[in-house]
Amino acid sequence: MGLLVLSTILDYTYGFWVASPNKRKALLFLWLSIINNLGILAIFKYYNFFALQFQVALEQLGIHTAPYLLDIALPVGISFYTFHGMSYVFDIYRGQQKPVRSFIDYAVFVSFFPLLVAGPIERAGHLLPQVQQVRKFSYGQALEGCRLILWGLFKKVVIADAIAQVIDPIFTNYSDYNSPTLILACIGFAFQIYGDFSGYSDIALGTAKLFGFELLSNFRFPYFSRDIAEFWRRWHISLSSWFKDYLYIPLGGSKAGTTKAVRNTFIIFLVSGFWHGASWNFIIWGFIHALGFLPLLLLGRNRKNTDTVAQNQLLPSFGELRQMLFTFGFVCFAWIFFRAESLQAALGMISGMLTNWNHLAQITGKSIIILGGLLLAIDWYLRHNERQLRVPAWQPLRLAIYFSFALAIWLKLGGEQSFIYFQF
Amino acid sequence: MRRFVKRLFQLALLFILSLILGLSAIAISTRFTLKIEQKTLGHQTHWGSSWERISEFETWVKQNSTQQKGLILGSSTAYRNLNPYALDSATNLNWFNYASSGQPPVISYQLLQHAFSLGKFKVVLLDIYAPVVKLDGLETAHDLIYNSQLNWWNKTKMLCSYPEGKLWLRYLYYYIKKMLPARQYIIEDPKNGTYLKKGFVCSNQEALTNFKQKAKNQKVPNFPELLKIAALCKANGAQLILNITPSLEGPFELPKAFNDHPVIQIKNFKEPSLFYDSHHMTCQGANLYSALVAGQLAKILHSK
Repeated sequence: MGLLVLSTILDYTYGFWVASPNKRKALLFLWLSIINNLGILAIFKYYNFFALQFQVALEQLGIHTAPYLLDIALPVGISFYTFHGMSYVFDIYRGQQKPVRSFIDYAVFVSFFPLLVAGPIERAGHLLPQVQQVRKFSYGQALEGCRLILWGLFKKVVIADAIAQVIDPIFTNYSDYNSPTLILACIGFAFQIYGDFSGYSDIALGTAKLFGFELLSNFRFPYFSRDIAEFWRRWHISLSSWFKDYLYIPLGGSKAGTTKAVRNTFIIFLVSGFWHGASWNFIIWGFIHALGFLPLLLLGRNRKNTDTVAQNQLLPSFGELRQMLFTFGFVCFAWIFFRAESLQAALGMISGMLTNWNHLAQITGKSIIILGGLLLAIDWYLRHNERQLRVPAWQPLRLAIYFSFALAIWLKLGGEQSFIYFQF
Repeated sequence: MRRFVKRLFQLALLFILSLILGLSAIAISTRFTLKIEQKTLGHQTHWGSSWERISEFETWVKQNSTQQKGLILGSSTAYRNLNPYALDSATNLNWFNYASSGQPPVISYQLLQHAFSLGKFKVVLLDIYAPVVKLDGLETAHDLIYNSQLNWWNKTKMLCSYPEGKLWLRYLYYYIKKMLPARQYIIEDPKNGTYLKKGFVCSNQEALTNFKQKAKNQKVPNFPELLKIAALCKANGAQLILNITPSLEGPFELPKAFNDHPVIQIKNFKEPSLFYDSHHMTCQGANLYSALVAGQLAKILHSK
């Protein structure tokens, strides 16, 4: 809490200083603000990681050290509110935003409760005007908000948590399971993290709607992506667009030649991985995605698929299906590093997937197919507009769907797990 | 805003009504088929004999209001291992075994409150089995809400402690089924054993021939409800005695907080043939063990 207050006061103050007409002074304060925000992250999130890596490096040189490690819990939402603050100061420096006079308005922007702990990462230019203006209650918006909350809770409590119960023991004791089970667990995690995080985002979007706010979308049916570039335009959109606007483009983006574009791509993906947590697993996860993105970038095909798949059609074409399956498979493979408890466990899991084709009758986790299939089927039906849930016009059917969802959520109450992204 | 709140209220009401309607349909369906109930909420069961025990308890307290009584609380290790008839003669008290499956101290406290509201008890014997102490009590709550005739107020209090969807649905179904012309169907589990009244269940499972797992020292965790249970006993003039249930898994090390109360711990009760698993005794084992506990109890009560 203290950290959130400190971070809010600092960025609010930097906002005024960065707005200075003196460009050199403004740049100085911009850098100070970046150092402050990244400093907070470095101490509270990354210090132990770097200290341990440093120790390992010194051990290689034969120097034994016992670094001082911080024994503190990671402050909740730290990665999200520091990014809110940084985007605010950046936007003022670029002249896209004026400093806010009211501290309360700024504090609401940084700490707006639906998005404080796990995003979406908002932009000052998008959320602050909504904070400042007088909001009127809208019946339609509130109803839409309730629908989003219901759908988000369903994805989280009914689908993601049920899958977690199946796959958690598999990831913990991966050596006890055969290849099909390990592959199924990996696919299961893809559905779990999507249900969990997009569920949270829907709840946040829905809650904000009840207060008259419209937040940025965070997901646009990512598992229907036809390539990795499209996946990143559909997965955790608020983070990927943040990195694009505040890191990739300032570094030169793709317009400064092929070498720099490749370098920038790797930087953005590695930083994105590292943002998730101080561990080699996340860095490798980011690296794999960078490798997947690279051919598209080099062939100039990274903006090929920008429309909705199978637009105005019931089913995708064979080619689209093949592309979606390939992309999904690639994403699932990368998820192994994201989910595994250590690098060794991730490699052990991959090795088990390839080699342990025994006792094929004993496949655990068949429920993953049902739950994941249900999630995909509903997503396919909704895929034309992520911000407005399509509900049947016939009221009895609509109510039956609402009530079935509510009952399913009710039956799962008491066994719910924490949101995955709360740890970041 | 008013329109929205009204709409939400209407939807919530409609949801509850459809739920009641759905549960009523399941209850009535039991007259024709039991499959729907089994697949949705599960049948009520005699497992742990809570149905008989709880029904019997209130009558037993009333019938023996003038006698000095003893009460046993705890989990299945209490209702299977402690024979109240064996304690009666040795202690000159009339005992009732008010334990239930997976009953942790938090539920023991609630049941003790209920017991004291019905009558007086001279001694409360709290049976402690370390792994159960750590449980949240959800298993017992399901058992006592769905498989027993505990009164409405106690069931509701218990329900409020557990925000679990299925438990709430079972609670609602229990009362809906009672009001409707439904078929009462209680599953008899052959493994349950014989209910010998006064809360005691005599096991019918086969004794162990040996126990391969190596015994290791285990710690009984301290639990905050102990202070509350002790205070409740004191306020009602009852003496609290702790009974550490024997287990083949290993001897139990007790926390310091237990020193404030008399403790019965029969450490050398380790013969596998007297158990049907690591901690539940056969009928023969229970009778033998209860006799030993009775002797210790008598000593404690006489020394007072």
